[in-house]
Order: sequence, then structure tokens, then C-alpha cells
Amino acid sequence: MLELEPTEEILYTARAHWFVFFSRVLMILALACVPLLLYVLVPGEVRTILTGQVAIEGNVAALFVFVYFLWLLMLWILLAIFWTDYYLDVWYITNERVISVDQLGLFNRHITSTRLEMIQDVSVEVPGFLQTLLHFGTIRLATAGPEKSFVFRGVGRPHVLKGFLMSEHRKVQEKPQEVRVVPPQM
Amino acid sequence: MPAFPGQHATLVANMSGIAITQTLLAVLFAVALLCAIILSAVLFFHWKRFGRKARGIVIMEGLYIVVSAVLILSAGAALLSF
Repeated sequence: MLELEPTEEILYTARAHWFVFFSRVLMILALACVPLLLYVLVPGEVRTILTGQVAIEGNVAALFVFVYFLWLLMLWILLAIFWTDYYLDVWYITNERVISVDQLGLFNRHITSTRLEMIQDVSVEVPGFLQTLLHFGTIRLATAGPEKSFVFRGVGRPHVLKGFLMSEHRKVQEKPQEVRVVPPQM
Repeated sequence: MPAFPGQHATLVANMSGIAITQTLLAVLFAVALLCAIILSAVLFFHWKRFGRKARGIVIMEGLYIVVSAVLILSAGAALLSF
């Protein structure tokens, strides 16, 4: 899955906060209740008019049950896609790099990495009541590399992640650098 | 006028020209089943690619197959009783 260098090991794995996925679950649950609500709230006369628009050559109740279960199946497929997208969006902090894996849909992955010593700035944004209560927000990494910024929205405990990144960045900066002196060729 | 629900609806005034037959529903069922199978294959692909490290994908694959099977069987039973 990830190609790590021989001396590299994963120190921290960051994913989006569970509430990010949970909010999508709530949306799916609400959509699942829509046909039932329509069945209950739509008056009988309106239903009769609507069913009069098409020829139903069979059991109407069975038709409703069939359509409802197909609707639930479609919503379940959508939920599985949301889960795959949520689960495969990850930041890996190793002892040498930050690797950002961004899953876009089912078949599109965007993997970028930056060395820890290239980090210039780490900023955290926790806007809103729910984000403050549940400790999740956005973390932005400014780097000196080709990819100028890394952004992770909805990450859990962003302040902890920021602290961890800064401490690893410091460790790499303080590590003695190997210097090779090459004598000039005469 | 047909009663609703739970009673056989005989041919009613068809203003739109659309007839809902068992064949049409069977086609819808087949399309939904195909979508479910394709996604199952995609989840399996991700699982094989990421191996044991993607425990969440493994759990989702198992749960997905079980729940999809229940929904498909229920829809199939409703289709047969249409």
C-alpha cells in the first residue's frame, strides 16, 4: 500500500473524526425514512390520484415494499461508498515524512508526501460549536516543497496532531547531518 | 377505484401511458443487483490491495455483503408476490 524507506516507520495515523462519517449516516437515515413519511403523510385521496396515473398490474402493497427495499439498497451502497472514502483518507506521520493519502471516490487516490524538515508552518482551525465540543477541525501544513500546502479537514484532535508534527519536525532539525567533504580534483 | 394499500389494483385509468409490470420491476431489480455486486467487487479490490492494515474495509465488506443480501432477498420476495 505505502512504500516506506528502509529506515522509515509510521509513528502516527490520522483520520477524519468519526462525526464526519456519522453526519453522513444521519443523512442516509433521513433519506431512508422519506418513503415511509410520504406513505403516512400523503392523504389517501392524493395517493389514489397518483396511482391512477400509471397502470399497476399487480399488488400495490408488494410494489411499495419492493420499491422501498430497492431504495434502501441504493442508500446502503451510497453509505459503503462514503465509508470507503472516509476510511481511506489518511495522514501517515513517519519519522521522516508526512504522507497524505486522499481517496477521491472509489478509484481515484491522490498520494503526496513531504519531508518533515520541509515543514514551515502548521496551523489549526476549529470553527463552530460541534467542532469545539468534539475536538475536530482543519489542519494546514505549509511546506517548502513542490506541494506548498497540505490540508486535512475534519481531523480529530488537531491540536495534538499539530504538537506531534512540530516535535517530530524539531527532532529532524536537531539530528546531526552527515557531511561529506570531497577533495577538489587536480 | 382501487383501494390502497394491500389490495390488488386492477387496471386503472392510465393517463401517463406507463404500465408497471413484473417485467419492468425485474429489470430494476437486476440493475440494482448489478450495482450491489460491482460495489462488492470494488470493496474486495480495496481489501486485497491494502491487506490486513485496512481492517475497516474488511469489516465493511462483510457487513455490506450481509445487509445487501438481506435487502436483495426482501426485494426479490416482494417482486415475486407482485
